[in-house]
Amino acid sequence: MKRILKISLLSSIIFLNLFFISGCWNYREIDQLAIVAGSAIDKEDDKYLVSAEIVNVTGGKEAKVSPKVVTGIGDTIFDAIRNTIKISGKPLYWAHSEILIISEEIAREGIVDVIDMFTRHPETRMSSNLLISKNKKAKEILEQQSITTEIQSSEINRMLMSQKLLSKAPVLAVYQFVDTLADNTRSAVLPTIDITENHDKSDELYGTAVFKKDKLSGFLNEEDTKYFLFAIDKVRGGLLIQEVSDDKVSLEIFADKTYTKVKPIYTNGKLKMKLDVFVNLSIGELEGIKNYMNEPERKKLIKVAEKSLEDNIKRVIKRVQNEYGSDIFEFGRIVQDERPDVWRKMENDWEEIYKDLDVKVKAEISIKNSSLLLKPIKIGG
Amino acid sequence: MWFPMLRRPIKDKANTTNNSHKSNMYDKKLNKKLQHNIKVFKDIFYQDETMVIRPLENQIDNSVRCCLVFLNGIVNDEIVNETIIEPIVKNQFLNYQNNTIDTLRSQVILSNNIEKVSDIEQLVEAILNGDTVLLLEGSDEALIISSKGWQTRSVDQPPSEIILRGPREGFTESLVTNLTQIRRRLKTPDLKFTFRTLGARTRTKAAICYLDGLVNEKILQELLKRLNDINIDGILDTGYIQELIKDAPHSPFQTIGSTERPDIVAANLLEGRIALVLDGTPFALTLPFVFIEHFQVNEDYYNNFFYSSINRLIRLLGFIITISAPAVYVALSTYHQELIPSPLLLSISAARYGVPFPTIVETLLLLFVFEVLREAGLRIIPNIGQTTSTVGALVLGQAAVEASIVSAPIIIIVAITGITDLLIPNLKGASIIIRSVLLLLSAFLGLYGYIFGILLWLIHLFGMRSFGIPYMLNFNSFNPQDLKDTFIRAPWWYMQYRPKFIGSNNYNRKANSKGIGGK
Repeated sequence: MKRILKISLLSSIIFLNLFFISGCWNYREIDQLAIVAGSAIDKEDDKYLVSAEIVNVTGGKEAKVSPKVVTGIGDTIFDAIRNTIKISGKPLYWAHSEILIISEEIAREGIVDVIDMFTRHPETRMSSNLLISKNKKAKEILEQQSITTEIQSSEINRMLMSQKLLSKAPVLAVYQFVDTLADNTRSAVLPTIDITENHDKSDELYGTAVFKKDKLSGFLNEEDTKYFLFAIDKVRGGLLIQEVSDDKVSLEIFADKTYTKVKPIYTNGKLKMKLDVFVNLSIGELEGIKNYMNEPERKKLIKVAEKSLEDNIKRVIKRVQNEYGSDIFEFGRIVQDERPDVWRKMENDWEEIYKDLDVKVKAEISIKNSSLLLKPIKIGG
Repeated sequence: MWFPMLRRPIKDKANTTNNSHKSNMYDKKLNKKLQHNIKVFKDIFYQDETMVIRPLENQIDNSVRCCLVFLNGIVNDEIVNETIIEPIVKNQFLNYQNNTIDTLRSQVILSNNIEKVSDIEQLVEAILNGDTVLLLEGSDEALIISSKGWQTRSVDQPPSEIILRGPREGFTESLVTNLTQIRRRLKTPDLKFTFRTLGARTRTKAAICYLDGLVNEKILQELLKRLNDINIDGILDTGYIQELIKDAPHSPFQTIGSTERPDIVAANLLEGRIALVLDGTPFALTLPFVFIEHFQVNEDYYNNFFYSSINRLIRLLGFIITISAPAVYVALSTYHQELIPSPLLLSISAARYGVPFPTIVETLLLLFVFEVLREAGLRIIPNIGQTTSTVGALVLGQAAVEASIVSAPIIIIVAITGITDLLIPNLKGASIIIRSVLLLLSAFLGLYGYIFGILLWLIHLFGMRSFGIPYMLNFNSFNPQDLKDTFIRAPWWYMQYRPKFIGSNNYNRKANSKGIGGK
């Protein structure tokens, strides 16, 4: 008992030291800092353009937050960041930067050149989220008018944080992305962002950017992203829209009891992956007047939904295997974990093996409730 | 040592010169002549016009002549008239044959407290203490008759230790009253009072109280030894003694406790501690004194133990906040901005907009102003007290922020610091010093400096002792019996043992069948 207490006390003291023995030496007043909320990186004629959204705070009692985008140009990222001093006067303070947007152009050439600065520098945070800007320049994304907050960067960060209600984009911080790059058992993905011009011009997340090594090799759209997230067990919410006998049903996914098990099956020198997808749903919206909470109707709905989920996941896996050839489903890592002996044999030509890997998907759906209504809305009579 | 004032004085040298006139004063002796004896006292008290020499003769046999010597004002006139003058003057059987000092003592004077003394020094001290000295013709001895009687303050609720639950009595300036209050709470012959006279000129009486059988003899001997070593002309309050016999003379922390409450003294005696009550002051000393006692309030022991434990934790937390809040704020806002949540960083940044001084200057400025307000509030004459609150609240608080001289977060930090400081009034001096040191260290080194200062402080505390008892007693223990009365107050049925080391003579609090407390 005494020993446990002592050990727990000592370890908590060591843990507390984390908070106290960190940070840099120099006395800087808060109001002398140009606080960066987020940044975007573009490339133009072999020069890097680093745009930082600086949060400008003014006015003692009635504080006003007015973000401004400052762009520095330089031969390297560090050079470009330092060059912003010419424009802003104050050196940029990166510790509160939440997001980092990288343009598609740079991503296609190789993202390592850019990411190094953000992992090496003591001020930048490894926990800031990475995004790839599709079509548009990264700077333009940062310059859009934000909707719910004053700071565009925090809004983009919030879009990513809210993905657990939507499951249409992966969320990766710098350190997670760097980890994946270092690993030869899997390939990296990043969320994609673009400007929507449907009605109002504003930023919008657009699915997934797929990487091979450190180079961008292609994109997955939002729907495909959702099935991709199912395959890597990252779905914690969102909707499944199912058409059954001419009615559209919105099925809401619950995080509880929704998970995916991936197992490698190695028989006769041949590797197969088996995905068991368990989904816990509720009926969130119903078109039409059929009551799907009845036993036979519900079974029918489940069967159709299971089938389409299986098909879609399979389709996305096939597509990534064929088109991009990058192991974003982390099959390599799973094989390494579960069957290290098999992995050692396959390690060297995993790329080829992965492309022809046979994947079996089995979905199991349960519908537990139908929100507040037990029956559909009645019409007439 | 570089500072002469911090150096402990060299003993003995001052001693001889100080008492020179006194020694020849006491050279005189009483003899059998009344006139000579009266003159002895007249010489000693010359120019002191409060001295009364009252010759008496028996109305029947005027050969029975005596004389009273006392000081006007500190004797009770009624006692002198009724118990001394009347029996002697109106006595029927006194005559030249039996008028010895012993007859007077045993058959004439109606006082409960009479002593036969021939030593001049003792007689003078008795007169100074308000007793009456009776000189008799034909005797070289005199009687000291107890007749003390002067105005004292009535027993009252002590203003420095206000409580809601518990006895409301406090000590007064009268030693006898104070000892009575202790005695009334501990009705056992084990309770001992040992007297010492301190101060060459004030001749202040000090009573050392302890419970025989519980007290640690070594601590008692050490206390008596230290009291004997005191060499000072006057002692007006126990604060003198506290500082003169302290274990760590240069430390801002007290190693001897002081209280105005008899119930606290009684509780301390029951734990095996020693109390020192001094004539002329309501503050009694208790020792040995350990650090956690700063956070113990007598009300803790009278209230429900859950409530008391919460209060004690609040006091401990309050102390940590009061020494740390400004230091941590300065460290975070000038060195470790990455540790502040982003929205808070922005609001601090907005608050600091347009403030001309660096954060550390702001903090020092406001802490200084707060201390000034505190001291002013203490010294102020009640009728003009409103001025301080108006100036403090409006001018300093609101106007300073509006004029962008200081930022709002600093006001909050200083306010928290000030209020938490008031939770532990008896740590006041120490907390100001620690807070300032930590603040300066943080301003130079950030949180690294803060931790450095905290370590320094802890090393100092753990290195101290109070009469041989570790100052941080039980702080390094995991034993529930050791922790029962530290961070929390355990229920009374759990506190069966006296504190470690202090109650070592008899740990068991319960009385056994053989008598009080069993070894």
